[in-house]
Amino acid sequence: MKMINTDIDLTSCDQEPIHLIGSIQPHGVLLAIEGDDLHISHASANSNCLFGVTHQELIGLSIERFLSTEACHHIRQIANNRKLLVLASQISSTVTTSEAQLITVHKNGSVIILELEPLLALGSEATAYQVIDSLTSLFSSNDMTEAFSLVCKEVQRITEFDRVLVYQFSDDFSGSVVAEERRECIPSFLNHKFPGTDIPKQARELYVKNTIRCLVDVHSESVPVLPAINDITKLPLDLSFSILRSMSPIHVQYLKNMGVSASLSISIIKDRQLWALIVCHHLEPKLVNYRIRALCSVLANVFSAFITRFEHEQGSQHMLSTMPLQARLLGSMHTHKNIVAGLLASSADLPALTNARGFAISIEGKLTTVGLTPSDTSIYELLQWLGNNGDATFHTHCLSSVFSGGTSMSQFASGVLATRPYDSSCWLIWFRPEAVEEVLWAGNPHKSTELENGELNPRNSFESWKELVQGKAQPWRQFEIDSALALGKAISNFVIQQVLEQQLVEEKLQMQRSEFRKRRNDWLAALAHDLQIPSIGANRLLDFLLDDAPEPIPATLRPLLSALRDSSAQQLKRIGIFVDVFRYEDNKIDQSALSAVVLKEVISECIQELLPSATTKRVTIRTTIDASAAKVIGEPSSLSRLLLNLLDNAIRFSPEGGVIELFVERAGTQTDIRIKDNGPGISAERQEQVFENFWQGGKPGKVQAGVGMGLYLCRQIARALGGEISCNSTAGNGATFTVTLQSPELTDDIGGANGRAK
Amino acid sequence: MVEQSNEIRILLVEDDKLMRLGLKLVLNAMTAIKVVGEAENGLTAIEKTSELQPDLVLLDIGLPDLSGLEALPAIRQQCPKTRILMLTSHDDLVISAIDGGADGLCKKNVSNEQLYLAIQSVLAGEKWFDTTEA
Repeated sequence: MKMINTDIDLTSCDQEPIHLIGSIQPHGVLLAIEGDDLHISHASANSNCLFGVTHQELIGLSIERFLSTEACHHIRQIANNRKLLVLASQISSTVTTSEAQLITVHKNGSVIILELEPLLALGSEATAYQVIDSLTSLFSSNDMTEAFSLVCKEVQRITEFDRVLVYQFSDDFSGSVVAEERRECIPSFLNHKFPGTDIPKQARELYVKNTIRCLVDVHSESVPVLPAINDITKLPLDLSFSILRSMSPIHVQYLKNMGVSASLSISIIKDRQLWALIVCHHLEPKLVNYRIRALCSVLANVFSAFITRFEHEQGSQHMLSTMPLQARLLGSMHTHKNIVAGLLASSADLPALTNARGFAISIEGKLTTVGLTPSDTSIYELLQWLGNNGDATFHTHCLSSVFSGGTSMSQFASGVLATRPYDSSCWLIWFRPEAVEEVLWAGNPHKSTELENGELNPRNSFESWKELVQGKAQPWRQFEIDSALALGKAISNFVIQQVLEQQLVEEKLQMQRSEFRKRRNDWLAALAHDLQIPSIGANRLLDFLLDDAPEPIPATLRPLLSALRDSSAQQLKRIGIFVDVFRYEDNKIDQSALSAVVLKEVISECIQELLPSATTKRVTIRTTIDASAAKVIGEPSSLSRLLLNLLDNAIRFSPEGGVIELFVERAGTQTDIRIKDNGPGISAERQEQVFENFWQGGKPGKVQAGVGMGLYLCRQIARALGGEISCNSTAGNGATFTVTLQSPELTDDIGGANGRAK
Repeated sequence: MVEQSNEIRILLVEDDKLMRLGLKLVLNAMTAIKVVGEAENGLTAIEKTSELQPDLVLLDIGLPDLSGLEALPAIRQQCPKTRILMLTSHDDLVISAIDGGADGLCKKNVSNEQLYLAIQSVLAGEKWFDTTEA
């Protein structure tokens, strides 16, 4: 651990290439070997003591000269696949005093690095069994603090260091001593905090790669590994995975300032992140043997597994305890058919879901709060900032550090956890109040750097230094964030479901409406049919009486019977229109039944039929059919019904002795049939209305049903024939109805069909 | 028109009183035609056919109890020689009438002339299915 001012740390120390430091601690010897012949490429300057030749003389020689065939065989295996090898071997050299050495072998790139240390007494087997026992109790522990102290005790017991502590990292990489085991001779750091700069980024990365680091004696001189720069790569030897690698001078100074001679650091890795360090300090120099290091490594691995399991269980427990809350909230939303009303009905559950103290929901700009929250104005500011931020989920335990408006609301909202479930119109926010905390720093962290002669120097006092930390809340844990997201998901599902339900209701209503309409129309059609029968009967009877009666009818009765017959005929005509309306209402003409119809014939028949009423009123009908418009696409009886209606209307509205003009003209692929009268005309506002079904668009009281229905029927027929009908009129100046129908393709056989009929 | 010696005996089946009366007057005024019986529902129609053995039944389709189409097979079975001319106001029943074994079909608003022709044709053993309006 070393310390420097944050700024300097980032610009200089973060970049200090510790792994390329190029030196080792003096208690061992390091060799680098390369190639098939296992020739030595690098050697530490102290090689002489083991090999009896200088490091310069070693370069280029094969390691096979110094080690047994068996040892060399193992080393070759490393070159092929294995990553780490530890073996004990005698060195064959001129140095007669040479003892058996512990050789740790690892590969880094194409280089194999051999680190030779004195083979110390390994200690008893019993130590290992005791560790296994401790591990068993560690795993049965349900308490993190208890587990921490158990690990400290165990590491202290097997390593016999003066002080062993668990140094846990926070999100900002500052560290806290959460457990400690020590001898009386050394001061305590328990519950002390260390700034994040004490262990810079590249040091943390090395702790992840190389999980055990030993520093035997801070006062010893480092031994260089030579050559310092590789001829080919122009780089120093990479010592990332070396055990002997010497510490950075700043770190050495840091430990000296702490009054410590030896240290051992064991990494606790969780989810590939450095989660904590077990740090051992000793007042005297101390070399730990290989077996102890291996046991510590096992302990660290088991501890990592324990933490992972523990956090997982914490998450599960939180989930189990919040599941009823989630279920209540969800149920309540469904009962109330409304998000906010539903959530409020179970409002106490909302903050509890994420162990927060306050909750706010904003939907379409409408804010609702529960529990301890900042003012609405503050929340709106926060919402705006969140919206600009762009992220769907946001959390902080120190709002003021990321949001300038956060300072004023830190009392209730130092911790903020926000999520928008579907889009930016809805936000869920949880608030945690400021937890003012008295932090015990190991030395004033703000004085980490003391510049002496332009060099960085770690702080020289680790005396407790108190600080009141404000503006911070308890950090959000992953399972609390997960709970928030789960509620968000439930709300988004609820919204989707509501939209779907709404659609279903609409569809159902639509179906009911069309079903109702169909039944009503079926019934009206049947009624219309039934109404026709007595009229037909009455007409037949009156015809008989007036025209074919075997006995003469008294002259006084004749006009009465005649009037009766006319009105009955008129009634029958109206009912006929009514029946036809249903026939054409849903475009009920089979399109395949449409063919080219000769207009002249249809028009003549219609005029023939209307001749009696036209004659009575002395109305003249003039017909002009353009040669190119002799035929239209249609169906004779429908076409006839359409024209009869239009002509009948024209006659009815024509003045006595009036003139009706019927033009047929081709316009491109279509044919226009125009019927022009010189009656009273139709006002502009009524021109579209006249085609409307009198019970749908018109005003029943004002519209003459017979006329309204007739024109509505005309439009139905025109559309069923694939055409359209329109009206053009100025009030007082007659009306022109235009039926536009599709024309058949022009062929030579269409002769001139100009005609005139009265 | 046709010879007077053999009067055509007709049973008129129609539920609407006015319609029935009108048709009766018109038919009786036709040469050599006599309405020998009337019925206003399907069951009576079957009974009267059996009782009167008419030359022709003018049979309405829309009847209150049995429809004309339902009464048709029974009439056919009881009096195989009797011709059956259906009367309807619906366009879409022609197929049913043909399938049911009727000899002919007319729309209710058929003109007197067309009705006369229809009766003559059916009695001559021809089929007469005409759905055009009067």
